Amino acid sequence: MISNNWTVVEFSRAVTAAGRRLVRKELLDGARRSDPLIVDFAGCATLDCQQIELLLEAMSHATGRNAEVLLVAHSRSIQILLDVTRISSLIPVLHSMEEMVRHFESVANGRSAPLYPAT
Amino acid sequence: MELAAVVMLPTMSEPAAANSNCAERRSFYSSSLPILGNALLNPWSERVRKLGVRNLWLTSHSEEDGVLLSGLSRLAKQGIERLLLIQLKSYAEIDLADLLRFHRETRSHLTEAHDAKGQLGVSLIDRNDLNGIEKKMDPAFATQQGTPYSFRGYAKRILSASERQELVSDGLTGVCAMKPVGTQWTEDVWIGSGASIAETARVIGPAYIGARTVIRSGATVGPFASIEHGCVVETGVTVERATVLPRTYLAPGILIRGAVLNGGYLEDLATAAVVDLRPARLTRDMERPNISFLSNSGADRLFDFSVSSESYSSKSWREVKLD
Repeated sequence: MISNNWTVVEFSRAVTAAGRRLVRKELLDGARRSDPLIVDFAGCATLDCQQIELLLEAMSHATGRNAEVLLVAHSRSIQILLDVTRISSLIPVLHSMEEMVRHFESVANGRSAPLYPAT
Repeated sequence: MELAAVVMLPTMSEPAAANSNCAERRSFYSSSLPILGNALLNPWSERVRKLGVRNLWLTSHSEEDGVLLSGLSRLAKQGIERLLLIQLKSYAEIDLADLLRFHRETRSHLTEAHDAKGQLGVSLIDRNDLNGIEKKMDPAFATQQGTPYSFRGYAKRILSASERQELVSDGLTGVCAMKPVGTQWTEDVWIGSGASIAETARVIGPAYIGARTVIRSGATVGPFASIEHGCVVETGVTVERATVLPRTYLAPGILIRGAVLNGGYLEDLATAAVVDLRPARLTRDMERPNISFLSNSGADRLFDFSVSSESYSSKSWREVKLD
């Protein structure tokens, strides 16, 4: 059995100022919990500088608390942006939610080690 | 005039970017963009000059209009014996004198240079065949009717960003004869004139830093990195196994690995995915001088690597003196 007690934050809502405030709150709240925090980039075609700033702030907050954070990129564009900003060297990036679920199943069954922290 | 030489410059056809306005971006593949500071046209013009040809014709390559064909027909009427046609889509270390000798010995009307991968876009056509030139432009026709000249030396087509990066790597490691333009700093690091490198920056060979490029503190360039002229690489940036095309600004701390970066756009070499980095303000295209390629008067300008790629779409002919 695997636990599905993780928090998923849909990053695509961080388009407007209000959306960014909401996502920021969810990210910071999620980082305080003991459950894994999943940042889902589904629906994001790209990231602008404000979104990257928000992401970096949240990641800094989360890593300071040793929270388990995973990013789900979904697209090659987002993966590249996470690589260029070096965020992917700090936080593990998965390609899809299915891969994320498989990862947690694998960890729960003892077949693989947790990805966090990134190596 | 026994031999005339024509170089066909590619027109701009840009691949679709996943998240960008294609009309705004520059092509990654354009042969007008420098490779290790070299204009791709230069080695071809030098080889043509060595044949004793003093006039080189430049034209944009568009099969959709009659500009090319009518220009070639005009040349045919000027009494030339044969025409050397070079499509500027590859770097190939062909001995054109040997190609010409082969063409004469085989008494072929049409000779097409090939390597193991196929046509290299270099042809010799006799005057009598210039009347049906449009048929010669058809690769299928050339394969059937032309005599293939088999070339076994170094050749690299430059039709994709990954092929461009392969040529960069080959130039840096001496696999091909193309040398980086600049001063050899160490065994495998070349620096262009006026480049500035901070003391705390690291340059790991093989690497090339183009003229007037600025590398700020803590940046790491290389291995297998080429940063062309007029770029600014900010503090803490890493550029590895990648090419940065001219006048590109790289914001502090970013990582460019396995990619070709052209202003605000990055092409990933592994997947050919193109990403617009401008919304994230990670890179940008710095101001570029407005230099028209085919409308300049001096040959030195024509062979300057800073010519605008966009102007290649100009549908005109230009004669260049090679003396």
